[in-house]
Amino acid sequence: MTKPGLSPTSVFRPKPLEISPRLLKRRKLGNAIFLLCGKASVIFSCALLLGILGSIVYWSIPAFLSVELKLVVPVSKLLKLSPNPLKERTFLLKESLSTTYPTYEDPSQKREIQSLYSLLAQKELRGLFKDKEILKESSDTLVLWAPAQKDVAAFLKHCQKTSDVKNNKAFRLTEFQCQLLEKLQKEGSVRFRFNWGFFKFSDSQTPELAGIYGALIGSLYVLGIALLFSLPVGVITAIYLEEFATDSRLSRWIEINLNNLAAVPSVVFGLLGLSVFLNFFKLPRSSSLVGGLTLGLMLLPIMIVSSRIALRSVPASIRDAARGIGASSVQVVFHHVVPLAFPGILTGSIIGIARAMGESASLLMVGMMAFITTKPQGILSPATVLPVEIYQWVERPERGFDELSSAAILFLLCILGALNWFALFLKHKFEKRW
Amino acid sequence: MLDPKIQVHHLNLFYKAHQVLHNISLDIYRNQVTALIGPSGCGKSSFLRCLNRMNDTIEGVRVEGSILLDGDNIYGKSMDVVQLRARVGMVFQKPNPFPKSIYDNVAYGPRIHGLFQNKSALDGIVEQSLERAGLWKEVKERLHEPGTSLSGGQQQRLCIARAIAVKPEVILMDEPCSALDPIATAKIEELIDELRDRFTIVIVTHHLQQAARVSQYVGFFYAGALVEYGETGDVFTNPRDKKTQGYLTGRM
Repeated sequence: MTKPGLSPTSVFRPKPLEISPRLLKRRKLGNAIFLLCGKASVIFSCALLLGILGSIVYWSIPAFLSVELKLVVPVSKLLKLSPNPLKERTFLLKESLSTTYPTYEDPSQKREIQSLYSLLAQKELRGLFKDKEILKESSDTLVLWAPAQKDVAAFLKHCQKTSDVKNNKAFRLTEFQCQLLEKLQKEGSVRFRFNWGFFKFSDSQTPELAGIYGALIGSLYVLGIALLFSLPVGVITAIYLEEFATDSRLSRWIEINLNNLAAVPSVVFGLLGLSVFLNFFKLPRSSSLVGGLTLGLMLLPIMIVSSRIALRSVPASIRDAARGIGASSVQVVFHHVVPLAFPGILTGSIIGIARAMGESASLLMVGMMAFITTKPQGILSPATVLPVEIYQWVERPERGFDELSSAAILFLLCILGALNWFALFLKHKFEKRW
Repeated sequence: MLDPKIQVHHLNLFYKAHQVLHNISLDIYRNQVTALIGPSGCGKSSFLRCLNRMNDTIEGVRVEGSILLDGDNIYGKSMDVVQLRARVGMVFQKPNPFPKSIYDNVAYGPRIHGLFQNKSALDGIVEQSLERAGLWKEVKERLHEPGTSLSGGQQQRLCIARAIAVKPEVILMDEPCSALDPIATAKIEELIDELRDRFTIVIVTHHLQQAARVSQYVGFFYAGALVEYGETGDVFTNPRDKKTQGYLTGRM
C-alpha cells in the first residue's frame, strides 16, 4: 500500500559509502610499499642469479680456448736423419725447435723454449711420423700448430706483458720466455683455437690435456643404472600405493616415511650405499654400478612421490567411467589412469634425473673420486661423474684447473637447464584438460 | 507386465559409523524408468551406486540387506563385480568420456569384455550404440576425433552410447542432465524414453518436471529413508506423505 503523501523522491536511497581520506591514503601507501618490496626482491634475486651465471661464464671462457704455438717441422731432414726417430722421446721436438728458432743456440735457452710447448706436442709429432709415406710426398718443412704448456697458455690468455709477470710469481716463466712469447705474438706465431679437447679428453694432471669426456660417460652410466633401478620400482610402488593399497595404519605410516625419505640429505644415502653395496655386497669401489645403485636409492622416494602426485591428478570421473562399464581395478589403472598420468610421471622422473645428475655428496661417500684418465670401461670399472670431477678440479692447485672447473660447471648447468626445459615441454605438450 | 528386475530388501548402507541408508525396500520394474528424487544429501545417489556396487571402492563402506538382480543377490559371494557392472551400466552426473577417440570410447566396453569376433562386428556395435544414443548422425564423419571435443550434451550421449555398447540390462543414471543446457536435456530425456523398451532405467534427478516427464515410477528419498514409492502419476498428483507433499510443492 503506498501512502498518498509519499513522493517518489523520498524513497529510501542508501548514502554512498564514505571512507575517510586518511584510511584511503594509508591503504594506497600499503599497496605501493608491498609492490615496491616485491619488485625489489624479484630484481635482487634475478641479479644474484645473473651474477652467479655471469661469473661462471666469465671464468669458464678461457677454458674453451686452447693456445697453440707455431712449430716448423723439418720433415725431409728428419726423415733422412733418423732410421728410428722414436729412440729418444724428445728428439723430434728438439730438431723441430732448432728449425723454428734457429737464432737461439744457448742450451739453457733451448731448454726454456722447449718447456713452452706442452707434452702433447711431442705426442702429436710422433703421431705425425708414424705414417712416413704421407710425409715423403710433402715439402721439406711442415708447419704444425702445437699446444702450449699451461703457464704459457695462462700468460697468453690473461696478461700478455712481461712486466706483469715480474710482479707475479704464480707464472712459472722466465723473463726470457716472456719476451720470446711477446715476440712470437707480434709475429703471429701464436693462435687461439676452440678447445675441442675439453669435450674429447678425460681427466689428466695437465690442464691442457684434461676434459670432461670420461666424467660425462661416467655420469651417463651412473644415471642409466640409477634409472633402471628406481624408475620401475618407483612407478610400480606408486601405482600400488595409490590405486590398490587400502587406507590402513600401515599404509599411512609408509606414506609418511616415503615423504620423509624424499627429503633426507643425500649424504645419508651415500652412507647407506657405502655400508650395503661396498661393505656387505663387496661390490667394487668407485664403480658406476655402486654409484648408480646409491643414486637409485636416493631417487626412489622422489620417483614414488612424484608418480603418486601424477596418478592422483587423474580425475576420479575417469576411474568411475571405466569401472562403470565393468573394467576391473587393474584394467582401470593400466588402460586409463597410468596412460593419463604418464606425462606427469615422466616429468617427475626427468626432474629426478636432473637432481641425480648434479649429485656429488653421496657419490663421494661410495668413493667415486678415482683419478681416471679414460672413459669407464664398464659398469664395474672405476668411473667418475661430472659433479665429482668439478669438485676434484676445484681442489687442484695447478693453474688452468680453475677455468676448467668453471667450464665444467657451465656445461653441467646447461644439461640441467635442458633437462628441466624438456620436462616442462613434455608437461605442456601432453597435459590434458578436463 | 509388472515384472521386478531388481528387488531391494531391507538395505542399510553405512559409511564407517555413519548410517547413510535406512532399511530401504523397493522393486524396480523391467523396462520402466524409475526416478529417484529428494533433497541433496538424502542418499538417493548412494542408493543408486549400491545397485552396481560402485560404493565398493569407497573405503569403510558396509552394506546390509540384499539386492536381487533377476533373483541373484548382487552382494552374494558368487557375484563377480566386474560382470555385474557389465550387466548394470552407469551414466554419471558430469559427462566423462575417456580422453580417446569417439570410436574408442564406445568400443572400450566391448573390447574388455570380448563381445565381438572381428573388426567389422566391433564397427557394427559402435554404430548401433551411437545410433541408439542418437549421436550417430552427428559424429559418423569424425569417429576418430577425441570424445572430449564434443559439446556437453553430445558428450553425455556418448557416455550413454558407451554404456549401452556392452548391452547392459539396467542403466543407472546419476543426474545425467544437471550439467547440460535445456536443449541437450530435452534430447537426453527423449533418448531415455526410447531406451526404455530395451533397458531398465533408474535415474536420479533433482529436476521434478524431468522426473514427471521421463519416469513411470518414482521414489522419494528423505534423510536416508525411502519415504514414498509408486507410479509417477500417483505420487505427483496425490502424494500420501506430508514430506513428499512438501518437497513437491517446494515447502520443505
